[in-house]
Amino acid sequence: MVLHVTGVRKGFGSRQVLRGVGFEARAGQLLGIVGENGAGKTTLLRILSGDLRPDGGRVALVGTRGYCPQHPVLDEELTVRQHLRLFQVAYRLPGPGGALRLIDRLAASSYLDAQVKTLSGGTLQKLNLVLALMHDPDVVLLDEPYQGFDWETYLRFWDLAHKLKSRGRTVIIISHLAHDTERLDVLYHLHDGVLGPPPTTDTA
Amino acid sequence: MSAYLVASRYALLAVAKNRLAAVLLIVFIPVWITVAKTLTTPKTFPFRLRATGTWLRAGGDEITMISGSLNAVSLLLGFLMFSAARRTRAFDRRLTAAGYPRTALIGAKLTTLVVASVLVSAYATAWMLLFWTPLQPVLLGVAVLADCLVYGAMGMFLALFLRGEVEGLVTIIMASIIDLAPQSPVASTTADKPLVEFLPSYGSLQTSLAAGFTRDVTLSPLLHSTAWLTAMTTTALVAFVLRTRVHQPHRLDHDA
Repeated sequence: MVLHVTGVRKGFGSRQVLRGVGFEARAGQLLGIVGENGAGKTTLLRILSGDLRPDGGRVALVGTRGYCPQHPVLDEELTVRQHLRLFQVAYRLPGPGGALRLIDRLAASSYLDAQVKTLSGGTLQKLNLVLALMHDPDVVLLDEPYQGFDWETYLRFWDLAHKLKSRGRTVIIISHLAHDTERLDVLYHLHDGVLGPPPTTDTA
Repeated sequence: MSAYLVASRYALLAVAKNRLAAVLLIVFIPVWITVAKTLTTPKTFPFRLRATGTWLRAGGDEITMISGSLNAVSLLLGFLMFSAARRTRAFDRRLTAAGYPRTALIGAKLTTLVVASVLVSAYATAWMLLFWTPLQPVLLGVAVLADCLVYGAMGMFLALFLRGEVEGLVTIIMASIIDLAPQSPVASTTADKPLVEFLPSYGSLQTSLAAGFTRDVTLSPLLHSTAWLTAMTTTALVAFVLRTRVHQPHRLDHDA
């Protein structure tokens, strides 16, 4: 097991968003979390990534994490290559090779020297994703990672996710698309602040 | 290249692309200084320099030029640093969560503040020297630099509370007006209200007036600038450290 989550609770003011979330994930597993808007999916992923502190409960994991936030968190004044350089330093990687291969796999190499503020939504999301994956983390946390992708890039994304899985990485994806579910090993439904099995209509 | 050098280089590159700040630098500073020197009265009148207690005489145009250039550089640096802090707020969180050393990012922010302040103050002082020969030009440059640093730090401080670029710009404009207008020797010839010493530009204005019209190296007012600079920079940096905390997970044994 690489990720063990027990009794995670989180509230904002009087609103309890997570009421005791628990699950486990193994190496080489593709795990999906679905739920209605405002169910707390993003809050849960932010807690798993260390961005938010839970009010209660425990998150335990093995190895490193990579987090792709729902909306691209980038510096609009820098280029794609400058982002890769900064995160190469952050992750203490010896070179940019891995990141450049990912950029290439997502067909974004022609934008390497473009300023982020000039990029389309889909290309921003590609960079957002690459920054989460370039250090080859053990646990990958993706919050609706294909927003803005065209169909071909969407398929490339799933190809990438399955390659990560085959190399023993754990991939946790927040999704709202019913047709993604057949690509996943495990699917949870976040409802009323707890994780449960998906409603039968959501399963493929 | 070290984490500090990479962060500083990119922070300075990003700041250099700030178009509104570039317009303020290229147009606003020379226009303000030129207007103040050419349209206001050259007639001299007496005023008391609060820092030393001595009475001096100076032309209204020269006093207005000093006050106007401090006003212009304070707006520019305040806006520049506010804009940079606001732009990188979420990105800094992501970078530090990924493992970027926070000390390197803090170093880059301070480097940006110092480099931008040195360049802008040298530029504004050079424009003043085109119109006027102060008795101590170097001390005048130091006084303008102090105002740049104080307002740059104020921009970083305001970015903790204000979200929008317009909110920040308007607040900095108002702060600079409320700061400089009541302590100008044109408005306050006797400078007998002790509260003026608490204004952010008090140190810079007193030192500029001493540099312009005396041969005394009057540095004590700059202690007031140092206090403002230290208080606002420290608050901004402590807030940065608190905001970029990452909540580490428990370690799980492989065979758990």
